[in-house]
Amino acid sequence: MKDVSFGQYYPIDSYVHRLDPRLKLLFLIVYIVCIFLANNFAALGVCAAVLIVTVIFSRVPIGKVFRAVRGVIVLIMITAVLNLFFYTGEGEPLWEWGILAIYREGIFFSVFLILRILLLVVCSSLLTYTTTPVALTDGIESLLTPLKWIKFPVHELALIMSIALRMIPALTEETERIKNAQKARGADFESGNPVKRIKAFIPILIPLLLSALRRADELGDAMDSRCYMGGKKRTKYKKLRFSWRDLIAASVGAALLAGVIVMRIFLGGIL
Amino acid sequence: MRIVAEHLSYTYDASSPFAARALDDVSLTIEEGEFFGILGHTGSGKSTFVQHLNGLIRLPSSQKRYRPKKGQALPVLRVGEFDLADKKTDFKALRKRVGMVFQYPEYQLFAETVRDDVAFGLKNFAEKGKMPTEEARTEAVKSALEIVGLDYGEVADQSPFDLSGGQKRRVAIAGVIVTRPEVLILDEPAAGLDPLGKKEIMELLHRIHGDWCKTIVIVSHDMDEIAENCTRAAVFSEGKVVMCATPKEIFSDEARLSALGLDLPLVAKLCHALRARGISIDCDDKTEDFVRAVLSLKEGGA
Amino acid sequence: MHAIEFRDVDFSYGEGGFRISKLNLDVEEGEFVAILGHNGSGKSTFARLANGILVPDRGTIRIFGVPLSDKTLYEIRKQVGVVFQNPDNQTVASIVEDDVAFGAENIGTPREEIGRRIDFALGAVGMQAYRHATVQRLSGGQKQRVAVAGVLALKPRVMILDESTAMLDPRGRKEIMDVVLRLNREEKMTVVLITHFVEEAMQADRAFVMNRGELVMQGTPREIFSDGERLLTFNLALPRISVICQALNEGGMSVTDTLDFNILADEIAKELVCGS
Repeated sequence: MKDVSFGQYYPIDSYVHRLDPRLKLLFLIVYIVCIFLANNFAALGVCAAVLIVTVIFSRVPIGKVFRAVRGVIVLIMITAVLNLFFYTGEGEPLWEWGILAIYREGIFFSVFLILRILLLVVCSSLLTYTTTPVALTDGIESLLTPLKWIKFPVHELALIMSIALRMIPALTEETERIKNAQKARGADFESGNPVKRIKAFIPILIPLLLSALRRADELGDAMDSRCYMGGKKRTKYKKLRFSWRDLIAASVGAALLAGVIVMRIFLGGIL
Repeated sequence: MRIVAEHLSYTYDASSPFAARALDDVSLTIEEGEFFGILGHTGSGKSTFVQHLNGLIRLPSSQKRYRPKKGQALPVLRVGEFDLADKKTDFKALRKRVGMVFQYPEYQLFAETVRDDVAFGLKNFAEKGKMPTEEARTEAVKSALEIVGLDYGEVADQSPFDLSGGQKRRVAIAGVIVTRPEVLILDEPAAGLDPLGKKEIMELLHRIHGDWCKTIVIVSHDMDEIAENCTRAAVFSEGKVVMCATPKEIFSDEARLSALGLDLPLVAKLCHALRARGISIDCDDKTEDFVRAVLSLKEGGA
Repeated sequence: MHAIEFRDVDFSYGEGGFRISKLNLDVEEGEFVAILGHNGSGKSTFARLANGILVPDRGTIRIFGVPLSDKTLYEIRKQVGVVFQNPDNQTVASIVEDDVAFGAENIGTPREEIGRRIDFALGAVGMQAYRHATVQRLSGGQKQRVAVAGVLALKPRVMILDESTAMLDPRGRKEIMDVVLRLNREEKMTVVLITHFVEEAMQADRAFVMNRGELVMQGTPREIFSDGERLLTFNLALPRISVICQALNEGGMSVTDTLDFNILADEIAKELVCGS
């Protein structure tokens, strides 16, 4: 029984955990921009240093962080290998075989790319490790608030996200239960050709769909009877508040962005 | 089929911060032919235990990459001739002979007609190249529907979703017993039904018990249900079996049960109250039995 | 003044579907009423009509004298809270306090007041310690208590529980019943409890029996349960203790039909001692 409502959330208390979710979202965006603005090893090194310090402050075990990387390792390898072999640099190739050739620049470029993807993955998974999906939803709703001016249904979107988060664990459990019930009736989900396997899921999908509809119906009634009338006139109990922690993190983000831009201008590209 | 479990332990989410021990060194034997009850609060490990019995939860030693830990009592689980601790066990063959009805089984119905839904297990469990003929299937579905108290001609072509709650549940039970399992396990078979529906379900279980399914195991919260129906029962608490005896023996230990936060069935309450008034009634904690015992006392005294 | 008043209410789910016909029913202010009936007798439809989730075809529904209409709908929903059956399908938010806040947020309650209401509501159901807990990790009984708290945050005067204990284990059922009884006795909340459980219905001041969309019996729970023959005609089972009383009487004893096992034990003891 895995609790999806927590996603990857690692439930401890730390400086990073306590940051305002809006700030963490913005920080992630700024950080990604920095990674892509950084065009030399020095700048990328600074980005990496900032991230390492953040990981230390988050107190998320290093093993967890690497587990996130493991999921994309194949992607990283493929990109790196492709770049290694197909990057055409100036001067003589270091190694050549048919259309494949390795240039000095190719090696640099591959390493650079690996680093970029690594930083990207670690930083975004750090966000999910340190922020509950609920807080993320609140953060997104709050950041999108200005869009209300163009009649974008911010409140409805946030409510849909929060109900989905609330219902996913229940539905996951239910899927498991239905799957077991059908297994007990001899259903086989593991063998046979792909068509057969897809067909084998019908006895799970139909009950699951019906259950989701029934739940939606009941939840609708429960919301109605608690006076739900859409976003108008609605107040909100939880307000996100910036604190001194967020101020420090924001300054770090701003400094990083400035630093990376400066290095981009004055140090030039990797090659 | 005799069920023998020794030293079963199980932990959910073992590697996560939310790890929860569901079974803790459980040993329990259920004889062939019993109507066995499993009692306990939610989260006491009852459901986890019964899911072991048809291999929905596997013993560590029956899994591929198993390495035994030193100094640990090796868990044993045998159902009839099946050794569930063995990797090579044919779990599908096991499931054919150990039927399992989950809580609210009507929520697993999926087919367009009642007939197709009940026949689902029949087709799944057919051995390769030995699919039963159309007539044989119809015959099996028909008798399964009849024993659960539904009229084949009336419901077979209906959509299962058009039936009433109690009927749906009976169709779901028919869908499990259609392959004539020797052991039938039911997780709270009467939950959520109205009193009449509950009564009908228990009656139908007694119809099945014996010729159709030799052994029946029910998980229940309802003390009266256990007292009225079971030959023996086990009480689970915090992943352990804390009592295992006949209902009469279990319910005579009022202090122990109340320490576990469990109530007594009505007849046991009456017997205790009468004993406090100096009258001892010798009966099985079943309503009929109690009435008979009281009436014979009255006649004997008169 | 009646808290809930149904006058000649007709309702049907489409052509030939299930219907409620000519339902006349009053619940007094501060009263604790139980509604019994087999599955499909119209009990749940009653709950959904009483706070305007369903709209009757004919007839009037008044809540504290105010007729239910489109104009009064939200005022009435504030006054009549409904707790439903499935503990998993009533909570909107993942965190307890956010869910309790939902109703109060909907009606535009100021922030500080929402905070006070959450304190009050969680206190009333004994769940203060779980304020920041994840709903999914709670037991069934605890989830239902959160659902009750979510209704209480709207400060209703009537609470309808639509088989809210049906899916709970005995411990969870007791938790809910304790909360409901306390609300009724201490907060003077009008309570309508729809249930299959005799022990629960017995705690009510009055009981109604519904059958095929009609109100067929009303009286004190004791009166209702002692009329075994009529209960059977409405597809309701007798309480086990009544079955025992009947069987004893048929066997030549004379015990008064009671629902209290201690009284029955007294009666049996008396019979046996006198007999000898």
